[in-house]
Amino acid sequence: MGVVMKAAGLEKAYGGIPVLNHFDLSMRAGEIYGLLGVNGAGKTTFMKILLGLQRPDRGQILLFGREVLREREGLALVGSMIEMPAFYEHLCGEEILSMHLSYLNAYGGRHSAEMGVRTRAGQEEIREALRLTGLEGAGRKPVSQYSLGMRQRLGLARAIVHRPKLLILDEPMNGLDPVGIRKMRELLKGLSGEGVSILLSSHILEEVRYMADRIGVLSGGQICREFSVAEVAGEFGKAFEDCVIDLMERRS
Amino acid sequence: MELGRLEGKKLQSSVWKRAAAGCFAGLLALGLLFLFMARIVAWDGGDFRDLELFVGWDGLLALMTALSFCVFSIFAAALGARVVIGDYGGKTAVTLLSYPVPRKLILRAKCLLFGGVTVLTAFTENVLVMGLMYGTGLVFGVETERFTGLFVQELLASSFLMGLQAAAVGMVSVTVGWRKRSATAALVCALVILCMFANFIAGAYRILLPAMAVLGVLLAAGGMAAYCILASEIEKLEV
Repeated sequence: MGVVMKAAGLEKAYGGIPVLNHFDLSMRAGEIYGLLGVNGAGKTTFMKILLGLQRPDRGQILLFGREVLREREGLALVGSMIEMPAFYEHLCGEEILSMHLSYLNAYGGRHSAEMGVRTRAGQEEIREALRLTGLEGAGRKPVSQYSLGMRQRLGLARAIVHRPKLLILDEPMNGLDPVGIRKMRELLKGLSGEGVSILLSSHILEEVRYMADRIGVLSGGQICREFSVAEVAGEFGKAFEDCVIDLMERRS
Repeated sequence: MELGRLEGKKLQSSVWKRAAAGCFAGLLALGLLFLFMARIVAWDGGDFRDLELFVGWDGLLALMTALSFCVFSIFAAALGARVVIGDYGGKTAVTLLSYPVPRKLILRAKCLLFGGVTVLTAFTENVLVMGLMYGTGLVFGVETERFTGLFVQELLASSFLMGLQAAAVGMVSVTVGWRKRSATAALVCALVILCMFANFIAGAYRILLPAMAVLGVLLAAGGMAAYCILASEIEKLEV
């Protein structure tokens, strides 16, 4: 499987306090990578650097083989949901998704088309994204009338509507009820089965444990340990949680 | 074009249409009041020769252009603050800046949107208000002097220049507001600038067009400089 994302030697500090320190990570196509870390460990910072929202002090990020800080076209192949998603409140769900596609199309459309990403999706694809996220009946409602969980689901719909090759999800289960969490898990598993790589961050162990193929513990500004599914299920078993918490506490 | 359309979609257009209608109503009310001002003073036994600015279309045009400049400078600052500070300073910035579109292109679309809307609205409303004042003046016999072709040209040109100036004031105000991350700061900045220049427009009623052109060049230079500063800050912006 090809590498879709590779971060090498990333460093980022806020006011002299390092958040990422010699951070390395690579992801393969179709993989779900769970990024675990305590609050403030640098999960969101890494994701924002990946999306070009922040600049690293040092290091390099390659998205689909292109340097993301120089060539932003690669971002057309990425779907993301960082923190609590924000929307233009007077627009309805369908308009939000349509606007999202128009933005992707405005500049990165050609590149996306070459990679098979559907930025020119029509109403059919928008309805499909709303259906997959359980918002089929709410597409014409203004976002101002959405509940917290519905906003979270609309954020996910926006992230997947153009069928990206890489999904970056920061705490995607926030605000979801148990039914919503289960549906979200099934949806993400399904997307992964179709070859979409998913980078998922959380500080809740169980959430990541059920979904990820590989889990990295972010502590001290770098991935201090990686676990495979086999390791989580076998070697560590019930001791997985203790092991992860120990790693987080030791380095933070 | 496409980016401009998307920026327009983000605006709740009904709010700004109501704001423009409010500006029009206010300006028309003041215009009609000014139209009758000299007559009212004369009825009251006063000497209306002291009210030179209110007698004759040249004076009234300068007065209304100065007033429109004030109103639409604030309008531009408010609209610009909503479009620029509201989007880049709010939570929507995370999504907006993660699109594979150069930041400068999005900012340009935003500035063209609020600048364009300001120029178009200010021009249309100033011409309409003057037109309605002219009609009213003729009907009530207050100002019997006819609009000449030259005057109409002056009206169109000064209205257009006034719209440009208001947009430039909006641009400068938005940049100041952005540096403070505050829409209120943008409005205060617009207020300060218009206080400095509005009297200049009204006072120069005998040479309105040259005065407007000079002021237009000055403010346009300020607006361009402000745009460059803002573009550089948005380019470096981290959210």
